Amino acid sequence: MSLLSCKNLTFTYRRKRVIEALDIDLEAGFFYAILGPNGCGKTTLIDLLAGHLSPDSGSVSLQGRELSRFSRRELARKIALVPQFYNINFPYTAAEIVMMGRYPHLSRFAAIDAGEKERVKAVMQATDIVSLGPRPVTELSGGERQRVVFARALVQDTPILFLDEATANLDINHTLKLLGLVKRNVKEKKQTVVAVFQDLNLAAACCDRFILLHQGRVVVQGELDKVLHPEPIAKVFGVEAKVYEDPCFGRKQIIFKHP
Amino acid sequence: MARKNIDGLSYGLLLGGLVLLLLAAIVVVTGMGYMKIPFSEVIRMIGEAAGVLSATKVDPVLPVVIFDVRLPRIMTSVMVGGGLALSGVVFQGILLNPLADPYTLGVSSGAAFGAALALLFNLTFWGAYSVTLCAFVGALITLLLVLRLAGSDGGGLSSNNLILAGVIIAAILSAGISLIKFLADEQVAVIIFWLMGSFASRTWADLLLVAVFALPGMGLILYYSRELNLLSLGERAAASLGVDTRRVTMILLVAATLVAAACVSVSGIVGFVGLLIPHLVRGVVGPDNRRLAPIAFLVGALLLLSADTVTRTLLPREVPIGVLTALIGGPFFCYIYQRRLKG
Repeated sequence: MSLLSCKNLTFTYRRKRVIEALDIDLEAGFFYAILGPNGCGKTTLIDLLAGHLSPDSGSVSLQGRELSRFSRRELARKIALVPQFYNINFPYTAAEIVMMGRYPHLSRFAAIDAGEKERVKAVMQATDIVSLGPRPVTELSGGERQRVVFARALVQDTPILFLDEATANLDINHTLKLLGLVKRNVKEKKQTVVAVFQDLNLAAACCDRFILLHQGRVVVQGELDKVLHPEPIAKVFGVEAKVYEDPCFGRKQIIFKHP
Repeated sequence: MARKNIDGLSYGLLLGGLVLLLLAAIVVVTGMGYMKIPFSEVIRMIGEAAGVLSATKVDPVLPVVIFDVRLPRIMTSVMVGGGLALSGVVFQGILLNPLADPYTLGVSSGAAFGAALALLFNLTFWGAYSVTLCAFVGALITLLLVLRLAGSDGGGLSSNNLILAGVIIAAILSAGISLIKFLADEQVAVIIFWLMGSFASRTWADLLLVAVFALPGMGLILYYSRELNLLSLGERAAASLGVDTRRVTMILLVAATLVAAACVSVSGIVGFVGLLIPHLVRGVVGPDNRRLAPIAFLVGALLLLSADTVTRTLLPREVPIGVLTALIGGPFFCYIYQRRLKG
């Protein structure tokens, strides 16, 4: 049985069809990439799969149960999200923001015990933000703040993690570090990760399975060779592409040319 | 620069200190005024009324001055100051804007419109409280209209929609108030005076109206403080961390508006308390609403009590409280704003 699946999913925003008759099955323990040009419905799809939006028709089910039948709190224990935009107007410290990732697991007035603190500290170490801990997030740079929000999602410790261009503002070191961390969770903890990428090569380097969207529909989904292929890329992005095996690291890479 | 959160002990001391300071201020201020009453006398009278001290024979004017004239006014200003600050905490959190205030949704215009109508038509069917109750009803109707307008897209009451809806409704109501003033002939002075705010000759019933909303409002805000913290990060973040955003936003918004509406109804329009106090207190205790709400309440109470005492006892003529807070708060706000711009 698939972990998260949607059938005949359709969503309209202000009379515009954003998602049209989508069928997707996500299995546990894989790293999925959602790819496609700007405005093709990637973020909307994530919002539908995470239960932030409800579909006009069709359904999303998590472990065989309709998503709308979960409470928000139950969902927050199953699904974490690193959003694309993460403006924070109030001067919470980075450590406070990360701690908020534990809220779905703690009762309202529960004191935060040593075990919880330990867990938060471990994630902050792994994501390289310990030194940011006491600083107000309002004073951090965009990339630093993104790492803090990323850490919050990891601390949430959910079986499913959505990344909506979650590394868009990070330097190459932190990009690879955080994605490596996520990849290890996929392998060792059987976490399921669904990530929106603009950078096809980064997706190729990290992900197991690929979903290519165009105008709210799935063009092609499956493994790397099938999706990251010159033909669908030309169709969706309107660029010429060539896929080759990179001789240094032995990975599939793509080069592009604007026609 | 790192911010060191004040620890639990300092926070407790701050909270306790403010409570004591407020109590002391109430006693001191009760003795002040046209007729000076020694503090010892004030304490003795309050003690007797509470049944703690045994009754003694005193000047029969004293209890009237203390219990019928001064304390109702003083306690009302305390509760309104606290209520406005508390309401401001919620509005700033939900509207994701550290500079929002309790009147952002047009509650003050609604209350003013209701009061102006009552004054224009000389409505007296609720006795002496007609104006207050009309103001309250005006504020409630405004809230309903704003929520209706802001929620028309079927979404989760985004802060942009709420602010815009508030501005639109408030603009219409302001025009309505102008029309009423234009039609009001000799009543116009009464209307204008009400709008400028005052605590003069407030009664225990006024205090009750504010307290009935402000005290449970405090409880509700403390109960939902964690959700409010998450909501202040944005709706999507709050939802993904387990907050039923539409429901909690609605509950907190309605609660905060009720508190603000009760405040405006008894005092007229008192600006800047709900805007400045949460902002200032956040700078000291941090943005966590569980800590912020009680301190903001106490500081707001102290501030408005002081302002009302200044106008009641120190100034040669009583200046309307709304004018006084705006005269002091406005320049102070400029200063804060400038500091923000400079970073």
